[in-house]
Amino acid sequence: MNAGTARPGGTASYFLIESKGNWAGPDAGAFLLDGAALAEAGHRVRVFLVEDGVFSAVGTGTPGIERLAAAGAEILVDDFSAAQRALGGPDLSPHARLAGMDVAAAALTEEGCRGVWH
Amino acid sequence: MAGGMERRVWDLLLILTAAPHSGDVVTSALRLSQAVLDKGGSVRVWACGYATMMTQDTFGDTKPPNTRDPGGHYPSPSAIVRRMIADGRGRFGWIACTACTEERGATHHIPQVRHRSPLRLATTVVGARQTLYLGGA
Amino acid sequence: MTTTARTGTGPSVLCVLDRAYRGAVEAQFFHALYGLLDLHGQFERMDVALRGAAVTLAVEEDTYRPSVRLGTMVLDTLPDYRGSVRDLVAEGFEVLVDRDAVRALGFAPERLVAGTTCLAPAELAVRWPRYDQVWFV
Repeated sequence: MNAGTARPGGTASYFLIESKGNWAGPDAGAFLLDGAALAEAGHRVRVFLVEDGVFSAVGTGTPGIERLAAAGAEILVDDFSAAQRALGGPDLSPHARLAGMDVAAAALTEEGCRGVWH
Repeated sequence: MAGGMERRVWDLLLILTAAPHSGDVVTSALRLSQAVLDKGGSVRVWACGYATMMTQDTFGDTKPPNTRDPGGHYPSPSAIVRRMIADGRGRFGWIACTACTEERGATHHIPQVRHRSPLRLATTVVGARQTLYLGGA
Repeated sequence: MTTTARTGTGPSVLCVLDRAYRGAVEAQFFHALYGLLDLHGQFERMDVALRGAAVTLAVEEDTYRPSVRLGTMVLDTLPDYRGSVRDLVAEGFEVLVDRDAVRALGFAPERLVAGTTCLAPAELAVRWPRYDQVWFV
């Protein structure tokens, strides 16, 4: 059975995997804004930053992360990708936390969870 | 008598179209696969585009010699996939898209890989509880 | 580590790397910096400029372990990028690192691999005439 379609007016649960990040070029941050829009519309949104996607949660400007957090989305950062890029917990936005791939595996195998990879 | 075979359903299908060496997408796909396997789940990878290169038997078991570490052992991509299929004992499968295989000239897959026409993509998706499309071809 | 014999018949080249992390599992040792280390002896001079997110290749840290478990295999031959940057410095490359990217990512320049040079973007560009060729690798 595939992750079910949300009934009209119902809420869905999304696990969004961002692998590109805000250093990938113009419009690179649009995927996070997709997540924010879903969260603002009342859906459950978890964002998992992996590979270069982890850069979206570091540095001086993280508007996509701020908006996701304000909308109630959970923001996870792949621990392997972060360490590979010399990034530790203190380097990340306070709205994000490090997580292992096991967390992604658990979420993606939840009943009804919809995964989207960017 | 009720007819029809019980159809196997996989926990996760990864449609991997991004090319190896383009980024760390293959690493992430394999790490995610292993994490699902570790919790007892099952994973299928559908390789499209240059991801069909991953399982070419022309790699042999190891990568070319590392000139800076000639004695080192570095398994080839196809050896890694073959090992994961063996270790998965039926819970990890690898499909090569036949159209992409032909289009990229990557026609020498290791025997552990299943060959499927893109006309069976939807059927394969229906056979998984969760599908992720890792684009980039 | 081996040191490549320098024949120096090729031109002087500045190699600019603005994309990093291109395939840990499949590349292992065979990443962009390895290519430069392996080939630079053929050239009169070869230097490296790290820009954008690639500056993180030159940021020291002590958490990353270049290893991943896949099936029953522990693949401990993933790229050691910082080690390769140290090798570049040891083999006489000038390694230039974009200061704006370092700052934008929140790193203090003191975290860069010893022997690298942190420069403003404009200072990187005005060095181009010192080289016969500039390659974006």
